[in-house]
Amino acid sequence: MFRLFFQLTIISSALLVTAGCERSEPPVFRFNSVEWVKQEKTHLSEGEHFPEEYKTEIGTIMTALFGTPDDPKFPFFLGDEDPAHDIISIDNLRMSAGPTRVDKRKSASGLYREHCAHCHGITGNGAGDTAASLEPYPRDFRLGKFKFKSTPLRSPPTDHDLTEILVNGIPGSAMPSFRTLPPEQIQSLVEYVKYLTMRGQFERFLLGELAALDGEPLIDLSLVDKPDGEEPSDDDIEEFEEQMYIVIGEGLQERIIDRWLRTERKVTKIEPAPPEFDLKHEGHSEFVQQGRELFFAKGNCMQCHGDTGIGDGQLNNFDDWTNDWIKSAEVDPEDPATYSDFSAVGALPPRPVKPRNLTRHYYRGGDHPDDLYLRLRNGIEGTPMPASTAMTSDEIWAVVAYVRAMPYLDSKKNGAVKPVNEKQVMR
Amino acid sequence: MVIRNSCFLIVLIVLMGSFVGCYQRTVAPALTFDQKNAETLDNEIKKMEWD
Repeated sequence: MFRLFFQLTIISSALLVTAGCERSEPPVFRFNSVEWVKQEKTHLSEGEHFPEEYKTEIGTIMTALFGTPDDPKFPFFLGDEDPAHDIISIDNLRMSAGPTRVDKRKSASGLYREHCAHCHGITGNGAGDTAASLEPYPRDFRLGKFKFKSTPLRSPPTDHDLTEILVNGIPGSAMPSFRTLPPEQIQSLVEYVKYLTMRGQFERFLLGELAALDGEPLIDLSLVDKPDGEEPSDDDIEEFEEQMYIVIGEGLQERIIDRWLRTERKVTKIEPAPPEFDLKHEGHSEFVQQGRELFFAKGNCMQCHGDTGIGDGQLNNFDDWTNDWIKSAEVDPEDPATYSDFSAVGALPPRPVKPRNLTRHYYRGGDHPDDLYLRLRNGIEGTPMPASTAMTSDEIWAVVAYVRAMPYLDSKKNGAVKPVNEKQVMR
Repeated sequence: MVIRNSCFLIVLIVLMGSFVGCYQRTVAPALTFDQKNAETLDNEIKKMEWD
């Protein structure tokens, strides 16, 4: 018996020692296959597929512009004068890219792989190794949408917004706080997230363009890269530059990078709260009551959050990250057979988005009154939570006061009905 | 004592093996690209007058 265990121990130890001796391949960005399948279902008949060469063409353009996970690049079209230097620094990208290590001067690199990749994936596709077991799923950056920000819908977040998420985490989700990291590392991760986002947005743009081109290349390199060193004609150069302008100038610079450059100017101004918002003000109770009336009438908040605010009003909506592929392909989220093509390339099973339970006193985007004001004023991008464009700032502050009071109110006294789907709501 | 340590070691190795197995989960294919064309395109992008 002892001999058997001894032998097993020796064999196991040998296996343990040799494990990992093989040199692993460097990580690579993953192709956006879910978007690929979506475009196939949109543009082609049942059973038809795009040629595999399309993937190589997209990969080649992406690599020329954005590099690889170990060697990231960013397209500064105007060289040192390019305004994109204000939003991305190559040094900061390098601090987050590559394998995790710290050199003798304690200078770190590989921060993204150390802290983020296991959930968000090397590519920022929200499909890291732990993603399937998390609720909600980690964010897929490639759609270019972020929930908790100070800018309006369809505007990217500011550096400050992303920093707040990294520093504070997202309560009620698996996103932890990285408060202990030094500020320069936080900034590096913020810029790397922006890099992955812009990269993913551009890949989606290329897929859409290529799918609509019916076999024509996006950028035909053979126009300028002639065999035997032959000089390209002026017409070839002009056509090539036209393609470059449409795909890279318009598609990447104008549609994506310029929007990130402008976003700091789009920050929503938070109007000061009226005096009644103060808990000690004599009119505070009436102010909360006014907020309650808005919650049920003008704001129509109870439609999703339910009469009691526990989030049981609407439980069969999906967020944009899921709607992006289930709506376009007429998928039935209840029937896995209808989305098997998407599952085969990595799409995670659709899960309905759950409205916040407002009686628990934690809010994913932060619990400061200003945070709640912004959620109401701007809505939450990518979710059914709309922007409250019809309400005045004082009305929004009244709803904020009511929402903040909700955990302490007796719903029965307020005349609210009993929760209807209590078991399904967020805890 | 030796038997207990051996058991512990074996369990540890099995768990590590399971972890390594889980860590290899990758569904989406790697991005494929043509290195030569990527370099050519990179050069063309740098040559072009963007402004």
